[in-house]
Amino acid sequence: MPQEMLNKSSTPTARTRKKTRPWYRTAVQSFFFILVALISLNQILKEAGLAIPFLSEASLHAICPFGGVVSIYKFATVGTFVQKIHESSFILMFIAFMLAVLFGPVICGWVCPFGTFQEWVGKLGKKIFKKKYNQLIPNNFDKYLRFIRYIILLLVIYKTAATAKLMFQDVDPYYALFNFWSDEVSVTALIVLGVTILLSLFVERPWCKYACPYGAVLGIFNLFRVFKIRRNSSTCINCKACDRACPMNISVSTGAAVLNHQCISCMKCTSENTCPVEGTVELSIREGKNV
Amino acid sequence: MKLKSIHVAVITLVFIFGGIALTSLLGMWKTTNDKIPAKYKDGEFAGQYNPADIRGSYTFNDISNAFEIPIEDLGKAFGVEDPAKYASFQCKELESMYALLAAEGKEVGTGSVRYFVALYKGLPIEVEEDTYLPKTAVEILKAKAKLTEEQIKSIEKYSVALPEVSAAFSVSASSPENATADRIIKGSTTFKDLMDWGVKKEAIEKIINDKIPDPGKTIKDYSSAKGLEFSTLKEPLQKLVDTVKK
Repeated sequence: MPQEMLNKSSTPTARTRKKTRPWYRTAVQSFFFILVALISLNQILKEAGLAIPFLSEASLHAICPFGGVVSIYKFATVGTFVQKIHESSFILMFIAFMLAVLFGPVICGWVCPFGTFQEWVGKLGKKIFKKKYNQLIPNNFDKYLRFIRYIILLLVIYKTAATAKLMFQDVDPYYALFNFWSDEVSVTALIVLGVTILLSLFVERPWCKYACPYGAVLGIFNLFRVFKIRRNSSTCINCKACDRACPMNISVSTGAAVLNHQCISCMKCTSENTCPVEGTVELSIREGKNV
Repeated sequence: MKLKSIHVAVITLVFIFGGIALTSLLGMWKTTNDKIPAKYKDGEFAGQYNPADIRGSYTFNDISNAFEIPIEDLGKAFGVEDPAKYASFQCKELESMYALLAAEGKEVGTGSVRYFVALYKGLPIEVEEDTYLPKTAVEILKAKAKLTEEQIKSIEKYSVALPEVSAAFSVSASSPENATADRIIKGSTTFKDLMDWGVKKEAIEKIINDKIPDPGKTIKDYSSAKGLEFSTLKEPLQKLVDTVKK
């Protein structure tokens, strides 16, 4: 929209500016991806007596906060952890919950290496499908599919509680990605990984949207998080750039605050990133109507 | 109050690494097991070590220290031949040592050690259906543990003879002419593997009472998809494989 039109409109304070998108999120995502890849690699090097100095020799299970979530039942009833899970998983679970109380599923949008991996594959999909990318599944159908991850969450928690074993490992594409060389990875997990990679060419973050049980847990925090993505309707020019930028297809432009359980707090929709009007879509505490 | 992405980045990193640093200082951050089992939190046995928390990485020495069970009893119970290896023997080694038994649905592994320790010390434990004890372990328990009639009946029912086990293990491990003994159905075994081992497709389909969906599919995954226990298909299919071997 031309600058003059904005200044003469009913929102005289709105100003557009050329976007220089912050690189912080990409840097944090890349850092955690590399860190997890190196920790996974260190497991092999450790066995060969060549472990990388100063780098954790923990297993991936020990640094996955979802391990803490699936261990809650056993810890509460027996006082022990599920197989392969240790105190570190529990601590990371609490850290993730504290961050989620503040910012929602920031772990999904900023830290999770598997989310990052899907985004990277998605960049290729964007080149192939251009504007159609991430818009290929009809909304009427898609909105119901988004709840599958809660069914998966219940199944995983039930199966883990019943067996006291880390059942999710057998289908976990995240574990398969970082351990594909290991005989601990099941064929099913490799297939799920392959399907996720393929779907990432059409849909942004398909695993996060439809299947991730940990994303389902953290998504609940969007309902009551302290800092929300908020839209100032008095300065909004209804260009819907925020909607188009959202990897999770949330309609940011139709309300005053995003409460959608799928938000991953990536902040792509904000005035800092995509919204052309300064101070219109922001991460803030201010009250407002909800999306 | 408004936050920019730089704030979120910094707060996220501070929370994660600050949390790890703080819990490390407090001695709470553990990424491996310290080889000390958890204790019962309440009830009659509150404060005692819980055998259910014995992990595969525990050595017989760790268990002996925690539960005050003579290491010789553990070594003899589970058929470790060399007494010099008792202390360093890890529970998870039993699973490969007795892999042939597992193929028959009689698992002697970490679960068996938990069971043995619980009975030895008179502690409560839940045991999976396919968990077995070696006969040597049963004899030690009968001699040294206070068992009820019901427990004695149960452990006798779920016992396997170690001499047979050892013989089978040594044959499969060392005899090249019996290399086919390696053809054991595991979690990663696919239908194609069975056919490669010489099992006829029709014979497999007769057992699974269905067409083979995809030869590359693992039998374990197929069982899960059909809502069956893995052992339900594994056992008859293993018999089929064994028939082909002969």
